Amino acid sequence: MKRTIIFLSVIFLTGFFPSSGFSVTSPEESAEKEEEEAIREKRHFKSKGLSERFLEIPKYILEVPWYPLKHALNFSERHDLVNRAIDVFYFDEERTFGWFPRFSSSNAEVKGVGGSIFHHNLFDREQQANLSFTYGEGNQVVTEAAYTIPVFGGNPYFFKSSLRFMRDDEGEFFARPDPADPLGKPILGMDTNKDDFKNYFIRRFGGRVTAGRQMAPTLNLSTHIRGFTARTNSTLGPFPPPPPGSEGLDEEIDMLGGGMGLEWDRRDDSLRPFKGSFIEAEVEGLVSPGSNDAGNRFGYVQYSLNGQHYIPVYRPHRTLVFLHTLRRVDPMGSRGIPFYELPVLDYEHLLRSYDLNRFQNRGVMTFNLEYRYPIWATWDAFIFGDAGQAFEKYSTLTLPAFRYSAGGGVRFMSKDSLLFVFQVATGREGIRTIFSLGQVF
Amino acid sequence: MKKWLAVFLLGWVILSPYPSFGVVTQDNDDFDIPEPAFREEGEYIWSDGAYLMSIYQVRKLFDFNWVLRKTHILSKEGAENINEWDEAPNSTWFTNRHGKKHMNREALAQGPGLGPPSDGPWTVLKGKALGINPGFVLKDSKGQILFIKFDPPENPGMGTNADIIASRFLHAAGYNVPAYYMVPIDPDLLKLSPEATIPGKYKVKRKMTRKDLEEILAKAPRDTQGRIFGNASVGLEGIPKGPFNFMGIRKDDPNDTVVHENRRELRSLRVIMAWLNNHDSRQGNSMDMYVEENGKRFLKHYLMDFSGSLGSANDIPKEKQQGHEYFFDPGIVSLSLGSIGAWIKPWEVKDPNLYPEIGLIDWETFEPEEWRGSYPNPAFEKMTVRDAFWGSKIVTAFTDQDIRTIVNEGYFPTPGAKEYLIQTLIQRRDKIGKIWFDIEKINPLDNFTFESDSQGGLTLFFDDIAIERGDADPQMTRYRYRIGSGLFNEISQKKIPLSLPDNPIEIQIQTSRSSGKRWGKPLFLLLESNKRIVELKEIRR
Repeated sequence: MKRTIIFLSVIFLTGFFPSSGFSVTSPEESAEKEEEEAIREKRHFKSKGLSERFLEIPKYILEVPWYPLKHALNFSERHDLVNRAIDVFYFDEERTFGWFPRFSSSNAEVKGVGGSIFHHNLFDREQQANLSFTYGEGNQVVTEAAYTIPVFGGNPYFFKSSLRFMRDDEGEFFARPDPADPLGKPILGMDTNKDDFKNYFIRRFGGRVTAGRQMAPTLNLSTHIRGFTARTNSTLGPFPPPPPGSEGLDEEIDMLGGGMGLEWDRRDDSLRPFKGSFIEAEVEGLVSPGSNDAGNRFGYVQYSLNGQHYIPVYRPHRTLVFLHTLRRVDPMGSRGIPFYELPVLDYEHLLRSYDLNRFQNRGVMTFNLEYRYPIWATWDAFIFGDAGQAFEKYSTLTLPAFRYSAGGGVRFMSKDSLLFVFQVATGREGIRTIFSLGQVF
Repeated sequence: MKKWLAVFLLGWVILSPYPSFGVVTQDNDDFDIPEPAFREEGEYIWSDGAYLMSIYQVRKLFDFNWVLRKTHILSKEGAENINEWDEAPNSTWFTNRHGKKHMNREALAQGPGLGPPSDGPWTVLKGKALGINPGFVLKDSKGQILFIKFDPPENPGMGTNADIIASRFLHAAGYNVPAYYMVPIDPDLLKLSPEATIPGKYKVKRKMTRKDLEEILAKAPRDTQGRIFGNASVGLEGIPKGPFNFMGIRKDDPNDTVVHENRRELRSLRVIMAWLNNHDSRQGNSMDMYVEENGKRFLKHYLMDFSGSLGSANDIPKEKQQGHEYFFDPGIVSLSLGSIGAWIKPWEVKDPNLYPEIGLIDWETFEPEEWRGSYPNPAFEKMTVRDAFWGSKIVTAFTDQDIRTIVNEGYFPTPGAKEYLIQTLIQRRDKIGKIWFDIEKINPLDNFTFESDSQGGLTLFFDDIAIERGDADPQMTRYRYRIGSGLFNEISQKKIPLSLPDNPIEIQIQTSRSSGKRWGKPLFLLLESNKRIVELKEIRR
């Protein structure tokens, strides 16, 4: 039956179907058809013969699936379905106030579905408000709210605030107990392997308020306060819990503190930089105020330095990107650092072939070299090499302890925004395909 | 004495051999036909673009004709509406004008129209969408329908110039096109028809208001005197029946018996559109009109909307890759990806657009053979060297002065802009001539004529188009010919002495641009004579 339908469709589409032979026609129609045939007969020029048309029949096979698609596209264009569909997500004509569903892939920190409500031009002053919610596998829940007042209309001050609630039954941590340590203090970072994967429960609620000033078109200075309350528990899941000596495990901890930040942006274009540098530095201190069981046992200073350097190779858009980062936490005196606050090195943190939260320790350092080149009007391809190391002390940084990733990908951009990045990375622990809606640099 | 001389001359004329031109120069595709339905399908750009960039490309692999041709088992498919002299006759699609007989300056400047529209008051009948390229349809005081659209405020004159200039070149070339004019618009002289409609949100038609009109006019550019000006195209004669496709035939038109991708004038249009840099040659920018001429009703085929020509991409200046890459070009993307950036596409390093009224067009990066529109055009894809040669003859028929005459019809407030465009078109034209008159591709001899002498001998004269158009050096040029399988005779003049043939003969001619060191592609002429009548039966390139 299927074959018959396909055969008849092909015959119909190729124009071989002698319609008059299969349909009832009135004498007037027959006369009209005869007249048309007579005209065709009289014409000086006619197209190719039957044998050539016969040879091209197979090409019409593709017309069969195309036919309904074509009608769907035409219907869509006629009735402006794309704009109707886009407007489902917006509440206003200007498309500044709306909502979006969220779908997170298996590569994301939160794997699940959700939605967000946003306004990107409050009071016509480009102020932004966002509220989002995601529910994912492992009973994960993430809710975020943010409000931003950007530099606008000659006012050099900016303000950002955010709140985040997160709950996860299957938090990832790579560690194993140190047999030499009587307290079961974990071995972390580069001394772990893939089998040291551990799960734990975490519930965390935190917020951050940042206020800053644009000192110059390329320089921003800011100060912030940050705080959170977090609860972790060992879980009995398919994977073992973190070593009992992991600081902050099975406890509820409140932390509060503040810090300062600096951004120096000398890139020629923030979307598709060709030359220039971007430096970002931040330092903050947090302590547990002693309002719960954890008392004031926790306190640390955290600092980070991120540098991006774009070295022009050939105009347009052939650029060598050199990126270096350092993130470090140091305890305040004899106070502790919750294990989930340790800096991370993984595919989301510039070591692109490694699992989420793969390496954690008191400090992480990465070096990345990426060569970008254009392949289409607004698309760039790139090849890269990553090197990174998680370390406890600067003195433990050694060359053999670095881990490496290499690979390539494509950055899909529109004229004014980065749409998504597709990349494939390979390293000691396997190959990873990453599809993300943004990139850290 | 005089009487005898007259008798002698008359006898000499009667008894001398003379050439016959029994080839089709006018196609008979204007038979009276019943009124066809409006073809809506061609108006949709998404399905057209998606089909031609994907399905159409893949389906070639399933076409055994295409496979056999690609593997050189079958020869390339030639155009199908050509006469024995390898020319497309005049038809409802095309009337060879400037390529056949040089048009004077007035005719070139005038283009297809009869003159600018009458002054206001004008009645607005319909609005266009308020977004990109806003505009409206109106009726002037003489009852003429005008389609008005406006240039982007940042580029006053850009789209208007593209329409005005490209339409005049295409008309002179021979295509059916509407007339375009730049018109000043006085808002006070615009009257809104009570029945006027405008596509509103989601393209849903609604009543047009004065506010809509004011919004459209608010975005309109102004000329150097501060007047609002628009780009007016004059409504075509007849009843619109929808765009024609660049492939297949229109089944409800019995006159349409040649698949469009095999029509010479549509294949060769690629050369002309490449010259004019019109990246938007798609079916949506064409129209079949049901017209009545000489008591017969038939479809006449028009090209329209040329605001994607020259440096304009309709509502914005052209981007660097336009004219070089399809909207999405898997071949170019793959090459770029594989070369790891080592392949620098010449157009990537183009100079920026200097003139707002022109947009981005150059000649330095123009490659006539590689030129591409926004997406594949089946007729353009099937263009052969013979088609290209035919198109190039038309393009190169425009002299420097002809180009200047037509470009003068545009609007160029920026000093140097007009001259830049003129020089760019001249250089692009010359590149076309150099490429498509190359003897390695085709023998560019044309305009074959005979002269007889009193001894019953014949001389075959011809033109070397490449020399005529300044694309080859006459000092270095030689020709050689042979009759049948005889020996080659080398000549430096463009004439071949012949004796009146008793049987059909084939003359093979080759051209050299290196004083006879290397010879190019041959050209074959088939001559027949019937007593005194010499007939050039066929030109085979």
